[in-house]
Amino acid sequence: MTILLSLAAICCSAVAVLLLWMAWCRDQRRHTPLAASLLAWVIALAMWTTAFGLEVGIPLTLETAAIVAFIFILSRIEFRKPRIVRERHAPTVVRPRYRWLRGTILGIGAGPVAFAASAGVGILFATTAPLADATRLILAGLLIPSLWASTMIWVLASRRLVLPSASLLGIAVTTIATSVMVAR
Amino acid sequence: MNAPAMPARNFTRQLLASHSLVGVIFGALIYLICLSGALAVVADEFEQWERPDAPVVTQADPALLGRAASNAYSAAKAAKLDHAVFVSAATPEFPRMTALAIDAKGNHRDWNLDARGAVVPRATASWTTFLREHHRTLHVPAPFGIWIVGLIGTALLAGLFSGLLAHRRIIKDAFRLRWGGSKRLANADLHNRIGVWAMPFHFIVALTGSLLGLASLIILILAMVAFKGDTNRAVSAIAGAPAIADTRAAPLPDVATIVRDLDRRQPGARVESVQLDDVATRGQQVRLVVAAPGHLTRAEVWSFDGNGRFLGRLGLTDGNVGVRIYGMLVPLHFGTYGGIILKLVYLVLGLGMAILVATGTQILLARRRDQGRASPRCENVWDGIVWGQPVVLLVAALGALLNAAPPLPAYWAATIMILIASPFARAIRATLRIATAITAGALGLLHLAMTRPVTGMGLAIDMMLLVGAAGFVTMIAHKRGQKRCPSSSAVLET
Repeated sequence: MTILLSLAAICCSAVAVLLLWMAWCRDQRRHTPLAASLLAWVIALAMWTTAFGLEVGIPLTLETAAIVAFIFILSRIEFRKPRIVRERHAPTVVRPRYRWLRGTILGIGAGPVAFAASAGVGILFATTAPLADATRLILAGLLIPSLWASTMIWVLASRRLVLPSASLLGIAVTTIATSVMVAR
Repeated sequence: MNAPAMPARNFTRQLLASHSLVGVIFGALIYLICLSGALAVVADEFEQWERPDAPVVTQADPALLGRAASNAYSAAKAAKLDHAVFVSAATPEFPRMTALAIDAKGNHRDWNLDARGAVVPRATASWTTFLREHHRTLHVPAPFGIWIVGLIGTALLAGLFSGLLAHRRIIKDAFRLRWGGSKRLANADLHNRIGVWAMPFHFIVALTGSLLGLASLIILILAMVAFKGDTNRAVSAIAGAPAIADTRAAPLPDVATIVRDLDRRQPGARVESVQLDDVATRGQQVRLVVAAPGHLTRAEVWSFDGNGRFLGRLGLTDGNVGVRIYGMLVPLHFGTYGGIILKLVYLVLGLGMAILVATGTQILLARRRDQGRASPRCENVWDGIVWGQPVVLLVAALGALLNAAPPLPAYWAATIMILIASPFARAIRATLRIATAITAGALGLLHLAMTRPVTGMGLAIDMMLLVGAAGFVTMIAHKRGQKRCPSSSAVLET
């Protein structure tokens, strides 16, 4: 039964990808295939859930969708002839002054400062959230790397050098100080 | 170009620059972790392939578990490592029984157990152990190794966030894969298609990897403030209360009776491992890790005291949200919740992740070439890393199989050699492809010829190695068959 349900779920995923591709090909009236594709995925999820339970069914739906989509895309690969590229001469590159200083500030901002700010928010959450100890800890634990990754990108993508790092430093100080006061 | 579109475009450009920066700084390390992680998913299978001579145990009944725990404790006591003893029972994926003994300082030793529960010397799978450690710590001493890997996981997460926001056409081009024309375009298509379709997998693996790597640091930081420095309280909130410290001597718990008691409480329960904490003291605790089908966490932990009195369950399957998420982290990261088929799916998606990283840097280098700022040495070094890693992992496995060299020195010697040679090598990519084909083929054939008994798992992995070698040979032949442009002022992209 489990094998049959799994096979049916994979078929549903394949149908969903096919319908999504049909929607992707169209310029207009995409709603119908999109809705049908979504429905096919919901059916696939229902089948995986029936076979393995909801907790396992959700990741299985996402992972099989990825594999089925890859297979579909590989089946439609467009082969092209190798292109001849003329070698170009490099334009004059104007390197920004104080590159190393800039790099160091970016590195500190995206590294320790962003980590401190993320950890500060995580600590504040772990200190104040009205949840069970384990839940506060784990959610704060998940929050810290997610926030660190986001703030890392914010610092690196920002045009201003000091502003993001200064803001993050402010967040770190405020959140940690608040957490310490609340914890007391 | 209308005025309101400008800030969005600038923002996208800045995001793309930050995405590139993350790739340039962390790309090589992320690639090493992704490649070894993809292979580490099937580490249990590699261990069976590497050491088919280890005793096979298909089922562990209560009596066998009792005997195994008692024998493991005797061995641990003889080795003066009797603070805690773990006995891993056979599972359908890993039909072996092992015992691990740890002293209070963390020194440890492990053994295999045979089908009668007797302790036998550990069938050490040196390459598999190397592979696991390579992914877990990059062989950097504790605790820094695991923190570095956690940091790399965070960088990967940052790369995923920025990639998702910076590549505005990833949804628009979701079904397009062009191959063979412009190298940059082909790589960009592959990079974006893998990036968009396997996005949930990438986020899950990067986030869980980042948390697993930084867990000890994060718990330490959170405990300092949120739990007023009480790290034990923080740890026991997640992993359950530790054994009560009472060092007065006590008899060894009757594990067989405890397992039978568990079977009465949950008929048909399959014990995956037995953990004896503060063993042979009055404060001792027995923890049974029991398979929990239908749950992502894979297992539930049942605790008993030394007299066999049931203390409670950890709650990995039905406890609070935090404990349940904690139980899901490792299965979600390593794909251990759905048998061998899911492991293969994780292997494919993990290799896809390695390709995502490899093509990311290739796009950057190709863009520089297109802009007339080609850096052939950097291109060669990146090719050396990307195409060199499969070779050095295979060389390490070959060294272990032939007992010629331990995997770690073999791995680093080959890696350093390739890194030194690659900036000056003419056709580094082709050379490494040939080397991969040769080493994969040699490893498959030698393993088939040298190791006994021939098992189904061993045969399957040997066949995959030979098929892989044949695939590389086909790829090399295909590349050789392509015509090269005779013009000196033009470069044919392949």
